[in-house]
Amino acid sequence: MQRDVHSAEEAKYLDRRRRRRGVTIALLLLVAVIAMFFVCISLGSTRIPVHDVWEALMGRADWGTDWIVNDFRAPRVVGAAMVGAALSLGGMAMQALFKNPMASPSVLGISSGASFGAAFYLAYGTSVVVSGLGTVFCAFGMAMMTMILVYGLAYRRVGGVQTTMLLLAGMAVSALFSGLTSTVEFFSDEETVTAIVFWMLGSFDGCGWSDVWMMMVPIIAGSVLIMINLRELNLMTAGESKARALGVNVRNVRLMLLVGSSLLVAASVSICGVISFVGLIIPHIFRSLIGPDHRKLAPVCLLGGALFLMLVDTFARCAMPPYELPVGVVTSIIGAPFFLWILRSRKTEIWRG
Amino acid sequence: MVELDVNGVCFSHGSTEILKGITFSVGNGEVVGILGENGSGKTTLLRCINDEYRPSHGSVIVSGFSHECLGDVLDKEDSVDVRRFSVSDRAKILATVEQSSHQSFPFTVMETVRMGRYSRTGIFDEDSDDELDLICSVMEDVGILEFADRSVNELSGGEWRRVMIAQALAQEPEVLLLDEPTLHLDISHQFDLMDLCREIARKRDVLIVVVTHDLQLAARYCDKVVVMRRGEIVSLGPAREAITESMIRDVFHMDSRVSYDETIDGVNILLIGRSRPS
Repeated sequence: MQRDVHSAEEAKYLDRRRRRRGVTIALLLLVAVIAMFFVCISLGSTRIPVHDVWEALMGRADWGTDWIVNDFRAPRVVGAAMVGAALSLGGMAMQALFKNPMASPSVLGISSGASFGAAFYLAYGTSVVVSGLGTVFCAFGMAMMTMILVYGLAYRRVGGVQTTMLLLAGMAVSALFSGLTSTVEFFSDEETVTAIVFWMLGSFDGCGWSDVWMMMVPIIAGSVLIMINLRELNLMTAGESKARALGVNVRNVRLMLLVGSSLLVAASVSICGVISFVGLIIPHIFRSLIGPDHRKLAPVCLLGGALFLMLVDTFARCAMPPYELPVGVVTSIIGAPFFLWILRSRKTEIWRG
Repeated sequence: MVELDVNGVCFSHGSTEILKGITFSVGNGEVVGILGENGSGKTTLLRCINDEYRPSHGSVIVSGFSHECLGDVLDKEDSVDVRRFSVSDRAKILATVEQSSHQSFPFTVMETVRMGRYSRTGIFDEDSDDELDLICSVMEDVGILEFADRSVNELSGGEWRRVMIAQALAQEPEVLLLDEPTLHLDISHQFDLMDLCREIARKRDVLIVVVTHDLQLAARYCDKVVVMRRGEIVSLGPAREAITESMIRDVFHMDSRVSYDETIDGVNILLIGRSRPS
């Protein structure tokens, strides 16, 4: 793939070819996402032909099909796509910001905070808020509070938010909330513990339109905050002082990226619990395919993440009827070997620390 | 006609005074060498000039820069304290090549050089033909066009260094600050690089400030040198006048013969050995 360049024309040609490749992959993914949307809805305990799915979405199907498609499967598939997109975009931004291949959206402790919020609600909160949405509300609220706490801890009068401090504060706060969650579990009865454990395994079971609409706002806001800083993300990978020397307003950009990815994680965790690994593997896979230029990488990650989680969730739903596997478990079981295969089969260097 | 005035710059890390009132001024088209031992404050001075460090006293003034493409605030002013530039304006005037830098993402060389264009382009014109031409010509100047499409992770130390220099040149700066630019380069590339610096300085009217401890190279390529010892300037002036046997003994603790050599039309330094304290 890599070869010596002998003229400026050739350099320009190769550069353009790389960019075209990014566009091509993005378009392919877009088509795949749209196609798989219908396929994922059609699969399940009751098979619904793709044609009927279309009819149902247009509101022209019989009552039963309409009910399954519009009330159950469509919001669930949309939710999975949204969360997949959000987590992989957030992961991409975090890896660039921290210049660390292991960074994922959960490094800031936000997932732990959200888990604690959800656990607390499941244990003590019955009927405080509108039923069904209570967990979502509490998880999101705690995620936001964790975010503020972590930034507050990492903030210094001089120099603003320190990146290293942020990672350490994130880890400490994460440990704190895990401990609190365990405490809640310890004092709860068996049924509640089961509910908490299931929530933390991650699942789109029961994800309805109300969840989707509610979390659409933070997910769009978070994505926009990241998408307007794609060039800056490229420069941030060279280090903050270098980025600043090249003209990036590091403080503002860093804040936007952090708040953006926090919103994405908070919303995702609130909808479906903790789904690990998506934010880690999807950016890696696409970085190895089209290179690290975030202007190409971001749209591809967004679509690729959506596609991945949509498929994995459908698999989790259909693999072992009548049981439904928790999607978080499946992402790890499918994701890890796939990820390792990608890492080992690529000849080019994906990462060098 | 860009000019750089360093006025009584002091800087301390905690209680250690690193710079003790550095004052000098240099103008465009010059290659200026900052010489000194390890720990004499050369790099700190460079960082005060590019506003990475804020001096505790004194100021660094840039004057006579071109106002094209700069922000509105400094529209009418001719001499400006570096601290007052906006981040993106500063990137258009001052470019720095640090002593060491690292990139762990596998960007291509061309993508890396393009990052230098950040302050001068928007997201939409970054890939225009003119831009690509400019990037290619910079890469050609520095001699890295050959590996334009290679991943930066696969480069040797010297090649990476040249990529960083190309990136700085892509900023089209008026003042170029280089911290030990010839480190890790083999001898022919050292000379190529310094030739390039001199050419850029002359052709594009760029002021180049080079921090180095290489006396030979400084004598050969710098128009002016600033010699530092323990945070103070001990000698300042045209290279031929400032680089003397007594300066080398005082600052570098080396006995030497400094003579004019007509083969190179410049100062030749013969290092004899470690000087004995007298």
